[in-house]
Amino acid sequence: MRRLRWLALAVALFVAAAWLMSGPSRPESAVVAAARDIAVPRHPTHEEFLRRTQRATIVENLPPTEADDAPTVRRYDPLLVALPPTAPGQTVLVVEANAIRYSALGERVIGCLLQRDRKEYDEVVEKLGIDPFEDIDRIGGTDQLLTISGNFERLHFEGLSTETTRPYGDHGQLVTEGSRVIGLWKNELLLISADRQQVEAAIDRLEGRAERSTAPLAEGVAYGEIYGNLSPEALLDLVPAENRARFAEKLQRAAQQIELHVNVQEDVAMVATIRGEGGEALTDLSKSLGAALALGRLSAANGGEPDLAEVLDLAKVRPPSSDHGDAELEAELVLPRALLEKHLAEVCDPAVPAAD
Amino acid sequence: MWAVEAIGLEKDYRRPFGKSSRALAGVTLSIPRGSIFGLLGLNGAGKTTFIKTLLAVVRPSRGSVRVLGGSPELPEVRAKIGYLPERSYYPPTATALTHLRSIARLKGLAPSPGELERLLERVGLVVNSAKVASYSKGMTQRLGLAAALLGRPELLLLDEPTDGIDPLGRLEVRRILVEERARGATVVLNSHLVAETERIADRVAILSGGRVLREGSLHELVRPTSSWRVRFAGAADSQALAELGFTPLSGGAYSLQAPDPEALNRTLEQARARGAWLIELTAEGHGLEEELVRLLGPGEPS
Amino acid sequence: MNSGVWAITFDLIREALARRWILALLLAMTLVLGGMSLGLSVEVVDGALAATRLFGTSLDNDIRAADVALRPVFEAAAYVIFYGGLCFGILACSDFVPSLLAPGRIEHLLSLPVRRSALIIGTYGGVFLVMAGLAAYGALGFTVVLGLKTGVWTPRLLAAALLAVITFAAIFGVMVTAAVFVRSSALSALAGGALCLAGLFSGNRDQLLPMFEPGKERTAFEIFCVFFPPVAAIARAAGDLAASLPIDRDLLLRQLAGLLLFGAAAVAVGIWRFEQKDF
Repeated sequence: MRRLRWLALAVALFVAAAWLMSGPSRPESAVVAAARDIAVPRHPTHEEFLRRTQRATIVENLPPTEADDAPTVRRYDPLLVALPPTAPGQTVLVVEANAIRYSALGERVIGCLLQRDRKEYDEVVEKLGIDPFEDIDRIGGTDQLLTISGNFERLHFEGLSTETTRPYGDHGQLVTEGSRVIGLWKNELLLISADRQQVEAAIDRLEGRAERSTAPLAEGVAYGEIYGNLSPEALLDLVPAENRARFAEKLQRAAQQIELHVNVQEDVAMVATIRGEGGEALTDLSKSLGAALALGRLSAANGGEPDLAEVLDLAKVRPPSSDHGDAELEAELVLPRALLEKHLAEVCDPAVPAAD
Repeated sequence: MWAVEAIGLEKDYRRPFGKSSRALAGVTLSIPRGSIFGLLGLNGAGKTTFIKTLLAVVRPSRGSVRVLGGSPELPEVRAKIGYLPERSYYPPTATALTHLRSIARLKGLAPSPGELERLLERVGLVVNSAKVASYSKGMTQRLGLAAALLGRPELLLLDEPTDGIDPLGRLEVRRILVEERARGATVVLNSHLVAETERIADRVAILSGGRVLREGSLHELVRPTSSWRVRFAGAADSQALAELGFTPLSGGAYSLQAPDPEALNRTLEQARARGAWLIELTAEGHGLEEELVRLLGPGEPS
Repeated sequence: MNSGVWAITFDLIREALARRWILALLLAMTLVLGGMSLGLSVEVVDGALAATRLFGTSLDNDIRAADVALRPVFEAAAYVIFYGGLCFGILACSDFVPSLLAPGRIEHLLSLPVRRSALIIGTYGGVFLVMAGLAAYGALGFTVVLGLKTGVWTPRLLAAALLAVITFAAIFGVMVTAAVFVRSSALSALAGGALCLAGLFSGNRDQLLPMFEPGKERTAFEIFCVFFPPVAAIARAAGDLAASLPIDRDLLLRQLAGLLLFGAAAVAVGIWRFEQKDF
């Protein structure tokens, strides 16, 4: 009987152990777990390829060449054609507004915005005649011209200005509002600039009166929800103010072009490719960026933002490979929905539905 | 006053598939304190099992046992027992000293290095750094005996203590056991060597088939004899000796029939008076070994 | 614990440290650590790891904070210590209990004034301490080498090693019991290995559960998982801990407590059987 005590003890301990070990098997931060699985945009997806094909609505019949008797057809994306040519190193960005709006994250953000500013939003819809969240497809811009694509049939174009509208080209209309000139082309493109010639030149390119192949963004780089090139100055704006001074000189010295691709779907994922002449300057810049990430992570950890710190843990700077003589470096960053949700929850209710 | 009191001890070993074998079949024994008690019997008689029940290494199926006044299940009882198992196992890396220290710790003792060295010398071992793994069988037996003697136990249970030990060593072991008895310890000796047991045991039990066939003092077990084997120095007058009743045997020995000690001594006195000097006298035919053969030999109950 | 337990524990540690397996492991760990300290070259700029070379070969091209960049190294070290330690422990320690129960030795030990339970608990405790010492040696070595090379000093590898030792404690409990039932080092190792394997399933039950059709099969798998230590989950936690990744502390503590109780329960079964046995 005395020896049965050990058996009884064993049974009791087994039961207690089973209860303790019966919890979930994978202890992991939701933020980090989500961040690990986020793919960064490095090439167009199949859907993006199809979308790009559908958008190439400008059809140009090229004359037959000696090599090919049949007429050649070339198709252009109107928004990319409208964008003015830029010098290397200048900013040109395209934002897939509609794709973002209908992404999980976009719906959440819009729901949040409407919760706060519904009245102002309704006033804008009434004044413009269009719903920006529904009728705008893309926004593209350079330093000289802002281009917005979408459905502007219901746009109160005349109401925008005190001046009368005047036609330009086959399908364009121009209106001046203060210092800005706004052009509307085929009810599908809005062109806004401080320089009338920029708007007129854009319409000329769209209607074939000017060279179309000068578009600053090749169609092959049109992937992600935000894409384009950033000037070093624009990139500096993304760097925290306290580190800006130390980066400015290195960035100016090393970077000639900064190509950006951002995915905004359930989460946010970003890749920036910085191109230059290579050599020590680019390597030095990559080290500084790495150090900045390390400091940012420490700062987030010390500032009571452990999740941000964890996400910055996953950020990477890939320096130019000396072995292959690369003249570019890559920086990538992911922001999982779980992390963004925490910040959104600070400004709006967690269960706000998206705009209808 | 008993060192060991066993009443009706039975032990059945269960084997796989329901079979069982009986090692003890009702052993009742009392071993007096301060004595040397010999256990004799053939292989499988139950001697080792009996010793193990005195240590609670084997739990009896039925019956009871008290050792030094208490149950052997109690550590405080076992603390007063020294045991030399039939087979010894030592960790391969142990030396004689480290092994003794380890046993001392387990016994709750803290002997000085000098004490341990004296103990090793007492059993005939030289203190050095040699590993026990390199010891001969006899040396490991001596070390086992030293371990059993640690802490001056009240009861020594020795299972084949002289197994593998040379004749001179056996003499030393016997001397040690006699010294321990003189100190007041009780020694239970399980040995195949009947003559050895006969020389030092005060009482003996003969076991067979898990039962005690006979138990008692040597005097009680060995029946008085009337036949003697005698040897004289030099060339004794064989005719004169024949007149006194000595019958010549091979190798210059004589056989003598004497019904009691008085007749034996009287005849020997007469032989001496005729110039025959006694150099050897052995009782013939009824020693412990003969008793064992009589009990356990062919045709006898086992 | 009484003096008998300590005496058995002390003897076992002394015996273990004289074994060739253990000495070979210590030597191997020392050689690996020595090799690492000679061959590893890292360049740290403002807290970021700019370059890592092992015997002149570049290991990682990314520039990241030094502690972040070294995470895979710490994580790998934690996994090596965890699974390597478990495998080594299962093989090297499978013989301790069968050796304790060796004919000639066990009778003598049982004749001494030591309780039977103390023999098992002392042996279990001795093996636990030996494995803890070995794990601490390896983890401390890694920590010191990497700390000196990179300036990143973190005790998390030691904590990861502790998780490995606690997991081994549960596994060795089963090995002890197996050896008490059948005095065989091979079967003891087999029991340990089988439990470790079951722990891989149990530790990934969240991922494996959807593979079972709802109903009897899934319920059976859930019950199976409840009774086996989640070895894989603890290994993951050890890796995450070493890599400074966040862990669910409450869940981990709960699992560790479960492991310790599981080990104790297994040992209690062993003691129950040991108390009944004749030798």
